[in-house]
Amino acid sequence: MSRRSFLLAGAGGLAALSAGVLPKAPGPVAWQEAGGVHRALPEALLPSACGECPAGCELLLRKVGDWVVGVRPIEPKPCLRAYTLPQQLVHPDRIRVPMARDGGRGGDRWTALGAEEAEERLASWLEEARGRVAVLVSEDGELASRAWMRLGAALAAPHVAWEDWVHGDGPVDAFQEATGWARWTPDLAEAAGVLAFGFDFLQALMPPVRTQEALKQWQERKIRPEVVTVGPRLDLSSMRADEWLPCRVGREPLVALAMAAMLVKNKGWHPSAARLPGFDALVAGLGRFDIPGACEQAGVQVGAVARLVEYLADRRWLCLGPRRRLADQRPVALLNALLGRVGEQGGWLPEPELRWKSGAHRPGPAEAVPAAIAGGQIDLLLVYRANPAFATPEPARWRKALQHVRRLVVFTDVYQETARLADLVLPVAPPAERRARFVSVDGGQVRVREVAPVMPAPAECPDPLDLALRVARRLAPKLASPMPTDAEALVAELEVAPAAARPFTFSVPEWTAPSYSAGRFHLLLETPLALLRMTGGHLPYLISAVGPHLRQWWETTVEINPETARELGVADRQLVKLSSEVGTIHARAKLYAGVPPDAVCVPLGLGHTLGAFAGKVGGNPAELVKWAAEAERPLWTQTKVNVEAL
Amino acid sequence: MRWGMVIDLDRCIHCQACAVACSTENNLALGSPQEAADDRLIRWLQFLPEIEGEYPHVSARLTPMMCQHCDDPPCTFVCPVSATYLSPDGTVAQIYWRCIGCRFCVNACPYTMKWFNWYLPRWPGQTSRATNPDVELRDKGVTEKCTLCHHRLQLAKEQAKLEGRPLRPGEYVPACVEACPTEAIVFGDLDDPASEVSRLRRDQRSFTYLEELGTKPKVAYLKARAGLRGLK
Repeated sequence: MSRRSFLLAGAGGLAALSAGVLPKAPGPVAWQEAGGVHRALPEALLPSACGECPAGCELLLRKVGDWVVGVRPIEPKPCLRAYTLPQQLVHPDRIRVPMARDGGRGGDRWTALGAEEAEERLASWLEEARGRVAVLVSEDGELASRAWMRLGAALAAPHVAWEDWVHGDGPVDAFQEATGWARWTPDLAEAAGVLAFGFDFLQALMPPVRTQEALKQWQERKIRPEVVTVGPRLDLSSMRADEWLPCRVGREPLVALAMAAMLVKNKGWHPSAARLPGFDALVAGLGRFDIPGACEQAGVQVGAVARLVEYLADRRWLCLGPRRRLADQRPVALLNALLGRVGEQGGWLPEPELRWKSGAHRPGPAEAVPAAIAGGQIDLLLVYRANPAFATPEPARWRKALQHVRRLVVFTDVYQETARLADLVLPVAPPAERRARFVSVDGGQVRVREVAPVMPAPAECPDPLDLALRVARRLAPKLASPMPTDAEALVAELEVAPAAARPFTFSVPEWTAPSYSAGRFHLLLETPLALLRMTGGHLPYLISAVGPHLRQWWETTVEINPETARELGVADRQLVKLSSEVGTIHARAKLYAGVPPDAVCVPLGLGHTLGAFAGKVGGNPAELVKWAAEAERPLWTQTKVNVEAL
Repeated sequence: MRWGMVIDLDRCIHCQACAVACSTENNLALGSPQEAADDRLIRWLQFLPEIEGEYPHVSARLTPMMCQHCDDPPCTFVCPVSATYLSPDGTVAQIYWRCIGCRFCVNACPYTMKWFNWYLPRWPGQTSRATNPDVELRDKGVTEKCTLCHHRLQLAKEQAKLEGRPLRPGEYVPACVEACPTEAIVFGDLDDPASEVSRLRRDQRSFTYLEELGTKPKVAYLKARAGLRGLK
């Protein structure tokens, strides 16, 4: 054998050996140093869900080894909050075990409890207090939260309520008044266009995934729907809008009313509106409406309103407005009805309701709870994933009530202000760590979507649904009314109440200007999508996504018009003191030409008093908002403040 | 292949899903109030605000901005240690362990989209466990920037190689593109004239920032359409 053939044969043999004997190259893997040896970690994309709002968006979690390290969206794509799920699982503020208060209320001394001991304590407290229990639940779309409400009903609790302080619901109270049905949703996907009155709908309308999906669908249409916003501040929706019509603070409903009167004057209503009850009286009533006077009060030109009305009459846009005073909601609801946008595709659609077949009572208003505590009617308050000590107008009222309630039990994922006042804190693991069941209405049927855990929950972290059912089983003989004690039976007890809206009934709306608290500047409150429902302030990537137009990051900031700032001697980024009749906070001034000279604007959701990232990051603007006892809804917009340079 | 991106400002709804997805995917430093106050918070993808006028005649535009991955990148010309360079696939790459922290590139970038780690990144408790193992955690004194999620390209290439096939279109997308709920960000091969990204770059609405500097950015934008058809 020649040297050449020997080398060739050797090379060929080695190649064959490599191909046949050696293992195939591994696929993409992550590596981790373990005891000086590198080993491949198993990797998988596992289906899960986001538990940040009732939409419960489906998504994939990337798990490498024992840890969730990434999020992959699936259609419809979730909002920004879903991408913080890996961080939520390892967050330093997370509650991982049940905790019992050790020492004075409001202190930070706790004793860890085992899951069984916590269950025992909770059950005995509920048994002791039954009939004098209040249950306050944040709507998260899960069966677990409904189970706790159902248990409240079975205990004959006088107050069972959804937390609904800062939801972006639209003028649903006005629709309820005019149609008898309380649940309405805007059909944005099919809307011909949108006219928003003082409503930053791109950030505040719930759930965000529906708004985002609708706007994506708009792009596929031949003629893209247009957006006009009416309001005092150039908010994110107004920046994105085709036109922004600035008006005086709190006068958006007056513009809506002037538009309605113009539509009537021009006979520009939709034919379907003329068939509705009360139409003739409305036409007569609005015929006497002082359009120039209203426009002057609102600070808009009659010509600008007339132009919009002409445009509207042809195109029948969907009109949006926030859930403020009933008097403020009525003009927006009326405009929708005149344009034939109530109960029709592309307008406001009545939503069916999930309710209990047994007739267990419907949730009441959350705001009745502090008064009930003060009146001595409540011995035990169970708060499920809500934070009334932080996320309500004038939260000092709630803190005072929570100090006085005999027993306070809080379910939460992270340590927050309400949990700090609790006697017993129970952890709620994110959906990634438990078998979560999301309930919704789909095609008139109850739909239950189960999500399997992608990693185990901490050892002593009870599943909130199982816990509710076990407590119900334990208390069964003593419940005022029976409650299903397994998940399937609980689902079976749910039914879909079809939307029972009667035809919209017109009435001539009386509008009076809102009364404001004392102060020089109107306080406008922004509801950033990043801090939806005033939650998420503990997540660093979300704190960095507040107010992108001014980089309102990591600190409570206040938008001040440059002219006003000059007059007050306030420079950009200077610390200022905001004070109202009920509170004072410090905030960093940001000069912004998009806010009117007689107002300042602060984003909601920052200013927590505790937390590894959230704690002491600015002040909570909710502390400035005066609670109006006579209000039907929390009045976030009727506060005035003074601004002082520091 | 020459990777590039087109962002349609008509589709962008300022939701910032792209920005948060980018932060999570690329293990960006969590930040602190101090960093934010000093304007030294590292966020590879930020929204550039352009606010004009006085109240009430004021308008504002928000544009998602990240490294523009220039074909003539000024940052690479000034790096004394070749820590940043134009890679063969068109991305402007950054090698962290080569960086000596001189910040020449930070100052040379006309888009101000390079970030210097002024502080030692803090990962309290178990937070570092939730980081992406494909992306290195940076140290204090190192410059960083958008890599177009280059690690995803590497993984996609490896997978294609293992399966003995070329890289398929859409197999590699950066996290921001993947997260955008309105599909405002289109990504692809600029060398392929038939690709969606190439087609959009030829669109009448297409423009690039600071074209006059000759940087030839590979991130282009589509202008938002004009206001109301019937009103303006």
